[in-house]
Amino acid sequence: MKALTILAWLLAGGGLLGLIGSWAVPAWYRPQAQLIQRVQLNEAEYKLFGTLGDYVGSPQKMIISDPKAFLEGKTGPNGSKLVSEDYLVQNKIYPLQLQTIEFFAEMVRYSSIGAVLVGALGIAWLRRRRRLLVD
Amino acid sequence: MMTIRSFSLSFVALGLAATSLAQMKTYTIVNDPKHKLAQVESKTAVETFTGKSTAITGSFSFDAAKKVGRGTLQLPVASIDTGIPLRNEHLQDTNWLNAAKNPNIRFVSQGTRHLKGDEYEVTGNFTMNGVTKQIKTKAIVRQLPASAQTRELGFKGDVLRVETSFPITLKDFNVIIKGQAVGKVSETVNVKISVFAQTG
Repeated sequence: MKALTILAWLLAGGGLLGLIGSWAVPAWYRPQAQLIQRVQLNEAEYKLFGTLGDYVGSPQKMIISDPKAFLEGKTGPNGSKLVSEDYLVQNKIYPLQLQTIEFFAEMVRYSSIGAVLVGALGIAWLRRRRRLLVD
Repeated sequence: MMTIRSFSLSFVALGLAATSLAQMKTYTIVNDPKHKLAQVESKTAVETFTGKSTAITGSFSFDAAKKVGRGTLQLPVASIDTGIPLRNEHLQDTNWLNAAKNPNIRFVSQGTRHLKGDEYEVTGNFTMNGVTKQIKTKAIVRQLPASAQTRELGFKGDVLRVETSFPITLKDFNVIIKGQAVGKVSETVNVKISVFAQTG
């Protein structure tokens, strides 16, 4: 009975922590994320056609902390900031995507809500049972 | 008299054909990784990832005056780099692109139609995982005659810049997303190709 009570409290407490984390973590990363377009620079393309090179993938919100990766003063589609693909590859930078953080935060959020509900129901049920036994 | 006229007409026809042939030039994709890029982008709620390769080979025939052409492209499956070695391995697996059995992805154009400026509509056969489907896409084709500038940049002869992108539905090519990959790889991926080709 005591073990069940501890388990219920752990579930509810852990769920509550998870719930807070699922809001706090994306909230921490969100301001650091920027709309980024990776570009593979090509000198020939620039000199012949005036374009910087090939866009790699489409613009997406990423977290890149290394300022040297950015091509200053240049913007891509939808006002995205241009980042050198060569620099990312050479420095083995695999940028964190905001959508990935948001996705996992959402998974944690739903799991935490479940844990809080199960834990709270467990605590309530155990208390009621204890009260009935005392009476 | 009749014979002379026929001969003259044949001569003119031959001359026109020769001129036409002379204008249709063959361009080979430049064998330099910085001048060619094939990429495929998958977008899901979990993540967006891009597979890249600079091992694309092929050639084009293009008539800049008549604005017609055709081309063939080939890409080794094993050369596609998604940024994660384990994912690259999975991509070559029998459940995916089966690189052992079907080592190359191919595109063979069957016809082009000039739309406007440098824009063309291209119809061709796209082969992946042993399955061939006809696709229709738009391509940007820019041709530059050989010049001091193109030579300085290392090109030999006239230069052709070809860019295209088109969506591919994986299940059309018998690539079924299952197991752990569900939700991590999109059903439809976007293929993008940009290459420089030269006549020399």
